[in-house]
Amino acid sequence: MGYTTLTFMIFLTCVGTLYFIVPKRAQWFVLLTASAAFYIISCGSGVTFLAAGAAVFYLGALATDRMRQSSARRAKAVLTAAIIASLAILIATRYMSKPILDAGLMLPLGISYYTLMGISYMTDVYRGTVSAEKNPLMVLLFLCYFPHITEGPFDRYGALSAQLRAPHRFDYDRVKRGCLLMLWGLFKKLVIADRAALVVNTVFSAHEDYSGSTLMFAVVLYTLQIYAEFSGCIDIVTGASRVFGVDIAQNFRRPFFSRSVGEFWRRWHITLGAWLKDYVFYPVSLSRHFRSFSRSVRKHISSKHLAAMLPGAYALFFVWLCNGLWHGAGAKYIAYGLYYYALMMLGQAARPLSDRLLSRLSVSRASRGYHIFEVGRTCLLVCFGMLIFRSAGLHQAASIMTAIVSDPHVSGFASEIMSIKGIDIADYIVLLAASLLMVFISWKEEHGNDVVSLMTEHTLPVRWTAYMSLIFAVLVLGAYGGDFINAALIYGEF
Amino acid sequence: MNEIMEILREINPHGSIEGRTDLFSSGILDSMSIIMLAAEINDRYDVEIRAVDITPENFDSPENILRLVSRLRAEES
Repeated sequence: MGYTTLTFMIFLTCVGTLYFIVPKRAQWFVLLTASAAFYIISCGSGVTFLAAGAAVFYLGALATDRMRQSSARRAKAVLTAAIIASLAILIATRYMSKPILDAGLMLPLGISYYTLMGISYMTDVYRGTVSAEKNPLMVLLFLCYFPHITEGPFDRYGALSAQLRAPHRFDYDRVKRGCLLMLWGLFKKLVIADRAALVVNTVFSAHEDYSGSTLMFAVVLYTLQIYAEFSGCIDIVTGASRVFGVDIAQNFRRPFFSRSVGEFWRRWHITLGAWLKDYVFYPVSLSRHFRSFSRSVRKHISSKHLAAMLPGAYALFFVWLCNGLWHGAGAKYIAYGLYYYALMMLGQAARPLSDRLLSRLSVSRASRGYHIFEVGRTCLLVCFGMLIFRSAGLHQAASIMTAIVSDPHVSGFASEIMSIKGIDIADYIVLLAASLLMVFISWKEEHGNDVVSLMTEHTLPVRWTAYMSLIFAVLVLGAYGGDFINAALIYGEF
Repeated sequence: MNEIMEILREINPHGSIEGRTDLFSSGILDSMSIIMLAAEINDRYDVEIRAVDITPENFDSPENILRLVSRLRAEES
């Protein structure tokens, strides 16, 4: 059941109605029933894997908590065993999909998301930051909560469970704001992302037929597509969850205003980065083994800057490797993760050199011009990262990159993009206008506003013009029917 | 306290840390800086900072960092 379908809207309306009718102590059970129904409708017998995973996390957390009281070493062993078991289920569904399908089972929805959330829950119990949950159904609800099961965000048990349990009364303003956020998300997904997808899919499926300038255009459009789709879907599920009074974790914070790729990854897919930082980076870099490595590096490297940097670089390698592997185990995903690792390490290592260069050129890092340069540079670097991500493999990525650099053929650009079937000048105009609106809203948000308040904090005629315009745009300009395909969620495939 | 300030200045020579109470929350100390800081503190004070200790409450100001060090020393003695 896709988040942009009429079926989902009807489902949400029914769940919402029931949620506010039942006694407040039963509200969480309505969410659990709805989430289970959503899951089974989406992937049928794949629910078997969810149940197995939930059992591992529930029992693992209880056992870890019991062991913690007597022996930290045993608690760690239990935690490790539970993590290995859950990762084994994840890896099995990724690499043994054929035997699973042949056995008559369906692949589980959102396993990459709920596995990492389950691991964070058990680890937080081990660390003592949350208590082990006695109610297995609450653990199940945390894992399969329907707003975050398909594309995240990676919620943390402590923050989410309290909200899921708490009673929520109907609040018109909160429900309205939730619905408006969903509308904005639908706009981004259906008007921008699915329209851009038509150009991207056509060009990438036959990249040899296009010049470098068209390929670069397709790369930029793909970056636009994936951002509009992923952040749009997060807006939809955030808005849907807000209707129930439950705030899920923020996952995007205007990433294309970033001044570096490091900052970009603190603004893009925020919860994945935070998960890797809290459950991979810090444990690796604060381990005893790592501390010995760090001490020996500092003894043998004379450069103070490098000596301080290298230990963190060693730990970050595992983070970026995991980032790539989470997306997939193919070479291109590993290259995707390590591309950003290499950029960050180069940036860190070259910092003293760039300080000296900027000083010689009398350029201040705080100047507006340098800020704009950094943002432009970051956007370009991210586009090339997205080229790796979108390409069928590293071979295609290299081929496209070569064509962009060696054969721009700018004069042929207009005729090539107009020759793409199913999209005409009107669609390009809609795409441009909608993208500019998204950039404008992002700009306002970067300066302290939020998209829903931008719509609601006006007089009645202005408010309703904004609402109707957005509804019109989604219904009439949304990419469905005809030549458009309601494109599958990119991040729903992980 | 002077030692903590010295370590912070070495790790983050470009940032202003005096009087700040949001070093970690604001991102002035990013994850790489935190690891460098933890490594220095572990060596100088002979304590062991764990992943669970990396919180805004422990790293938002030099005073908080010093409190963390004191607590860890007390736990290990």
